[in-house]
Amino acid sequence: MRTRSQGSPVAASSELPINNRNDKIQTRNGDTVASQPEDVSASRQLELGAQGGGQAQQQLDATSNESGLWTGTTAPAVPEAVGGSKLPPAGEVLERVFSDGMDIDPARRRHLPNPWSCSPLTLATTVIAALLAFVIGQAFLTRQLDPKGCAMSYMRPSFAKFSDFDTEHTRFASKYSLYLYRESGVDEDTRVGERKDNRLD
Amino acid sequence: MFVQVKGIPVMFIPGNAGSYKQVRPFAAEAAVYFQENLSMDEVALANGKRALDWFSVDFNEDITAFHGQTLLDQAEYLNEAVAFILSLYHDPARSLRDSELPDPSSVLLMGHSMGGIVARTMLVMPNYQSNTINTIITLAAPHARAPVSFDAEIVRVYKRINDYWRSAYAQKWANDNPLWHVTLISIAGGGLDTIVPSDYSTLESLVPPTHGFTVFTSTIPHVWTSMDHLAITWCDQLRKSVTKALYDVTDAGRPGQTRPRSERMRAFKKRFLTGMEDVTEHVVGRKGKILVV
Repeated sequence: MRTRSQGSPVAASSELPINNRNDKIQTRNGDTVASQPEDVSASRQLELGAQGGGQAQQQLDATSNESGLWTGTTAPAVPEAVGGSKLPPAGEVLERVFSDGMDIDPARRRHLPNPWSCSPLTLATTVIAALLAFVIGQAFLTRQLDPKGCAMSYMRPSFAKFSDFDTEHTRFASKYSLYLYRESGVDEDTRVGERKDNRLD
Repeated sequence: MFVQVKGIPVMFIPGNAGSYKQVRPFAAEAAVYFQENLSMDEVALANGKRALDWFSVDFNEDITAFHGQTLLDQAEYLNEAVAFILSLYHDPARSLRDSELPDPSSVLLMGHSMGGIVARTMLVMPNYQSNTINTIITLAAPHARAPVSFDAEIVRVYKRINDYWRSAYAQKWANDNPLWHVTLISIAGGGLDTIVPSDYSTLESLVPPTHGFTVFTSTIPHVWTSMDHLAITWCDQLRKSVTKALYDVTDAGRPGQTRPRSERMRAFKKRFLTGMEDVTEHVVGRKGKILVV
């Protein structure tokens, strides 16, 4: 808004065609000659403001939308420019409005968080955490204080199932069953092995 | 039916998703130990030492740790199994026991993991017949709290069981205590047991030192090693110590199949503790025998 008010009061006669102006903008986009166009663009701005007619007014309306967007979102950039010794020429500002339509202004980019940015503190914390997790896992898996000292046990098992502990005795007989253990070769309980439902494991 | 019982009934209760075959190491050691050390020993036989009849239950590898009702079902089934086992000894056709010995009125219990909780639950159930359980040994059992609390029911069951045990031992008079004759030993695997943290195995808040204690396998004499959650069922050193302790506390000459509570506690302390623990101090002091090295 402010830039607009700067430009609008200046009135001068001009009959600049719109397409011509667009050409100029295009050249400026790809162009490296920065110092020279200041005068030119300034005068162009004047020319533009001088239209005064309905056509120019439409122009202004059309641009004011964009410029409103631009000035609104990058408000801090403008006072900075004002406070600085060098005020950006009005024409340049306007051109920026047209040319940078969808681009992000460098000043604005500074205020957006970069998704890939990483402060040294974050980096250090992550590294330390990863190291700690590794050490904890390593210690848990391989550096337990207790060594495994159990000796293996051996046996010759045989089990006798109590088929007659049935639903007459308990409602869970279909689900669970009861066994008696006998050590083969030690328990001389030969009758256990004769049962059909006894099995040796 | 040709299966005949002949000694002292002991029942093994497998834990969460456990197998009835996990009884093998202990039962085998008990059979071998009796044959080699006790069967020819006239004094031992006169003192009521008999072979242990190891029973085991197949729970179809039920998931007891996650479901409270399953825990109660197993406890109910086991109480009925205990009644059935005791009836076997009453039947002369099914028992090879000496006729002069009294019929057993109780069964010793050994529970692994959640099986230890099921063993304690049995005494709380309505179908529990009093004095059919007086000695319980648990291996890596989470007594203090439920290891997994996804199910509200299991938390309630735990609270019910633990409240019952606490209030029983809090009675001023032994007559009011339904668990007066019950001794409970909790054996924990120590640091290697990453499934049930050994802190959960503590009986500190449940059972007074006169009726039970918690011990780590790494401090049991002749075991001296930590063991993981499954190794505790087959560890050779541990099964030898536990077997000796079981033969120490059993007495087939008594209906309960075990010696009186105080003698049992003394035997357990002798087998499982080093003598440096707080609970053993007053026993040593009372007897006046202090070993000076």
